[in-house]
Amino acid sequence: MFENRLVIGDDTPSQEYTAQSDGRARGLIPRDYTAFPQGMYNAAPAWDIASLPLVPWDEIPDRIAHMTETKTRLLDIVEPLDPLDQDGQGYCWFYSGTAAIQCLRMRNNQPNVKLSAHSGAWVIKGGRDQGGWGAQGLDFQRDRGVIPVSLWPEKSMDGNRYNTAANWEVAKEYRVTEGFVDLAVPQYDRQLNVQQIISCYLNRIPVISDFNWWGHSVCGLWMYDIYKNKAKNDPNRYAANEILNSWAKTWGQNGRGILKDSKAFPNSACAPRATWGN
Amino acid sequence: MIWLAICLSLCAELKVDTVYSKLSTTTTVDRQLVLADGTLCGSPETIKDERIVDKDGKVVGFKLNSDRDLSDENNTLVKIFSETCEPTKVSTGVYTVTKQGTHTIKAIVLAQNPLSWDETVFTITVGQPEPPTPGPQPPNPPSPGEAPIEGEGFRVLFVAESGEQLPPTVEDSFYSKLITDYLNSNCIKVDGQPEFRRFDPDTQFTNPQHRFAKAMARPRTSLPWLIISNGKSGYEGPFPTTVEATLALLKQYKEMN
Repeated sequence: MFENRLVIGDDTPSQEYTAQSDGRARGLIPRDYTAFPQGMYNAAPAWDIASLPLVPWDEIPDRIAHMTETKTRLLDIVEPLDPLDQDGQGYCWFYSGTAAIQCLRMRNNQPNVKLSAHSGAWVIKGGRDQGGWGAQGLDFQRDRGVIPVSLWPEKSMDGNRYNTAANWEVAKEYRVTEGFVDLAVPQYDRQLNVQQIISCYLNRIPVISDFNWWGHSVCGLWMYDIYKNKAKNDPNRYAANEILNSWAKTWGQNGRGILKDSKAFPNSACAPRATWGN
Repeated sequence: MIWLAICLSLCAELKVDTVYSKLSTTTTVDRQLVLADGTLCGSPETIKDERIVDKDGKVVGFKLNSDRDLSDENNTLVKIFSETCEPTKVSTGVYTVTKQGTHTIKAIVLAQNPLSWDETVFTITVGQPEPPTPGPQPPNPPSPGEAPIEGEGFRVLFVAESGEQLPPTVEDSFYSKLITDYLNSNCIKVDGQPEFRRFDPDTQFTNPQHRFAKAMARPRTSLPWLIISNGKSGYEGPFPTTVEATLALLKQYKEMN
């Protein structure tokens, strides 16, 4: 199924996927749910079933098959999107959300504007090279947006020069709307967490996914129905998560790869539903 | 051997025959001559009238044909399910439905000793068949000379809730590569970007005067919603039910340009 694809599974030695990173920075600090519980962000209530219904388990395999056949997955829609490159700083947690914004904009057929994820991460960390988690970045992106690379050059740490009110005024164009979703905590309810992730994917919503085993945050695009002999409501049936990384085009296939088996499931996840217009 | 017997039992046949196309209900009436002052004249005459109260086709019955003995209620259980009607049992294995419309019904016959069952799903129509689902509603035309999206040229806007499953007939059009490619090739471009968007109805705009912000503010009667503008006129309404029909509608307005 994944011929000629980069797949990182339970049987992939850590030296191998470390080597694949080619020394690029990551930067995830695992979210401490006791200090930062689900629903703590003002604009991100815990999953609101009224505004984003869960797809019933029974329907999931058929919908995966249909969207795969018709090539209408988010994965297909964002195929032309170039991956970002965070190299230099441990800002993966802001890059994952920035990639999600770019995916949503491409889904909407909005102009494909390359965004500088260093801009928001630099501001949050006061110019320091520090880690964080995806929801931390997404909360800022909802509030202030991301500055385009035309105004804040890619990977630049020169915030004293580019961190201006005028640039942040432009960044408002690149915000996510109110009400992003903070997914269930997998350590408490993994089945619900996976159902939420798949519901997002089936609605073409990217999922900002933090993986503690990897120390890395990336943008999730799709889960495959790979173990069809398992029950429809068994999360392990869908244990192949295609992600968009922030390690440039040279990682995987155009920056995409597949996390498999127990590595498929993020330890923390949140999802922006929509972006601002224009 | 026992397993084979169970398998054979599980594979017993359950068929359904439609047994009625009409139900006649008769009534009796009394005829009595009454004078103007209220005096009764002669004896009342009872008339058995064969008048049909329910017209043909307004009641449909069905009969379960099973290898099992449906009359043996101690050993056999019949369950009838439908989300749209409530079949009424008339006699053993025979049921009627009076609610007008087309109904999908599931019949299950369960037997014990050994536990086994048969089931079947079938459809019946009571009354006139429902008219075919109408295609897209007639276009909701803007006023003559009014384009629903400001500006010259061919522009298109798709609107749907981002967090809800689209109706299957619309979903294929909404994200169809064929349609996307057509729109990206044919819509007018602003700063190199084709003027075609897919938006959530709650999308916010930093510039409320933006043409797509104005188009989003126009009244809608349902979701998902399609707006096509060719600069002179356009279409505002539901999506057609197939990719081909949606593409044809887009081309129709593009060619009017």
